[in-house]
Amino acid sequence: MIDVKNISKRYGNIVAVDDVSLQVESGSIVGLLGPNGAGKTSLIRVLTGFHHPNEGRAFVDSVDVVKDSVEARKRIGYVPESLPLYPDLSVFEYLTFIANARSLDRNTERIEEALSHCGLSEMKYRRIGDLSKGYRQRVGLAQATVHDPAVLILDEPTSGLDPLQLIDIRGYIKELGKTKTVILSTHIMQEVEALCEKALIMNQGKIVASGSMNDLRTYGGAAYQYSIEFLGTLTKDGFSRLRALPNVLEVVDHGAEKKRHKVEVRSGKDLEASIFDFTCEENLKLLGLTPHKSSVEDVFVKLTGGTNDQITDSEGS
Amino acid sequence: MIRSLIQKEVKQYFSSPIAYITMTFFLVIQSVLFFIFQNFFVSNIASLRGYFGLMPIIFVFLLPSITMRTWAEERKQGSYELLITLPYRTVDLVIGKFLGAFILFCIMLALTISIPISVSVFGVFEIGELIGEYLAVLFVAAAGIGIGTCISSLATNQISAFIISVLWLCFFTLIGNVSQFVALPELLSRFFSYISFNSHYSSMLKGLIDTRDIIYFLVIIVGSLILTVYTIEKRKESQ
Repeated sequence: MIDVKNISKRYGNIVAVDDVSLQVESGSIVGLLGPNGAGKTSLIRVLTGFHHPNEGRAFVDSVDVVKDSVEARKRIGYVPESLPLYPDLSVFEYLTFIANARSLDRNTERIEEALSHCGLSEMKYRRIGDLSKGYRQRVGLAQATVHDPAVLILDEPTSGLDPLQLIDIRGYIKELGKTKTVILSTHIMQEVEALCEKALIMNQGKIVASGSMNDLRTYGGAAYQYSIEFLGTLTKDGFSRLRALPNVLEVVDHGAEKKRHKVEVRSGKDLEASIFDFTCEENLKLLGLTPHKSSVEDVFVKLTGGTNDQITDSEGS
Repeated sequence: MIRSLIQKEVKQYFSSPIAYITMTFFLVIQSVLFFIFQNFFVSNIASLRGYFGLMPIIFVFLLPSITMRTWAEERKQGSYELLITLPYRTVDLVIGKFLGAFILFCIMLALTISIPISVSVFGVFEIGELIGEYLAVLFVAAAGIGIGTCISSLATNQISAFIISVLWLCFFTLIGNVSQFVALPELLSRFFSYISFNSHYSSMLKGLIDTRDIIYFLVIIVGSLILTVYTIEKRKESQ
């Protein structure tokens, strides 16, 4: 379990993490989301003992990460964002170093297990510098899991993997999440939706939203969004009546173009039937009614002030 | 646990060409200077004092080439973050890195055993003197490696770590000789001589194992290791 209490981290005048508190229970995978510079990596670095916080305390498995840093680090498996490995060593030599550094019993057995779980058995004696990015990513995961840690902190663990490797590694992370506390920091929203039961969204050093994936999708009450297109013109009164329909949270009028009027409606519940009835009553000919279920990505964009295009860019990069 | 770090360090040295290049440089330069420039065969004396006397000058370049990568390379390739987040105490990391570099040096030094063996056909060496000479070399090298690893922990890349280490080792090696070229007040001249490697090293070379010389080198070694620990701990707070 991870328990963070009022952690702040500053670099000179820049506040990277601003009074953050959170709790992550054992046996769950929690997604850590946020745009670049939101403070995700700084928070992770405090948890892993790489940085000391300026204020606050953090506990990993009830062990203080500053006061009892070595004990806390024994309980953590960490895959850093840039995945730095030693290119001159072979995969086996590297994992042997990690296993010895962690004073593991049954070293060889543990290493073989980690190699097998991460699909690295055939690469065992290859130089890390000669491996593809996907395989190096697997070596990163293998070193983080070789000591069977209670807590796993993964910073962009699937970047650079091909689609088949993605499926494999995501499956492995899901399996690990059944028994361990996993924090998964990523830009890939689909990954969070596929793997995590809960997520935290950070922006400008603060946690701006947290909860189960379902809570986040319906953040602000909007679970559904409809694009409506009809023939005719929506009058001011008609707009007010649409706005007054039960469960409607927001109506955006995009105006008419070539007699086709476009409106967007955000609501807390399914409104398809009500919208159909409304257009009949208003004597408007319904040309299209496209429902969009609200996603974490929509909430992310709303809370962090970004655009969906930016997210697509960061996923691609 | 420290053993695993030392093993990794030594393995990494030998996995890259650095160790081989440095060893070759050391053995070739040392032999050329001794046999050719110091005219060992002409002098007709079965003594290796000249051979060992050259070492601190060569160490000014040799030791930084070993130590430059210890911390600076970890930081450059990013593995520093993973290393710091492994369950090592900072002091263990610093000692492990220091010993890794020192063991590599000892391997290099072991290769020079061939010199006294091959030269011994020209006369009988005093074993005690030979041991004293090797001991003096080990102390001066350990002090140089301590300074080099400390500078590597402060530097952002290997090149700057190398250059700054060379300058510092130059300072410690030659500062005692300044009074030969510049007229200095007696007190300052004695102070420079005291802080110089050479004054302590040369008395050990003569076979005089004085505890004050040993303490001098131990202070340099321990002091530089403490400074390295402080640098790493401070970086956790300020980074």
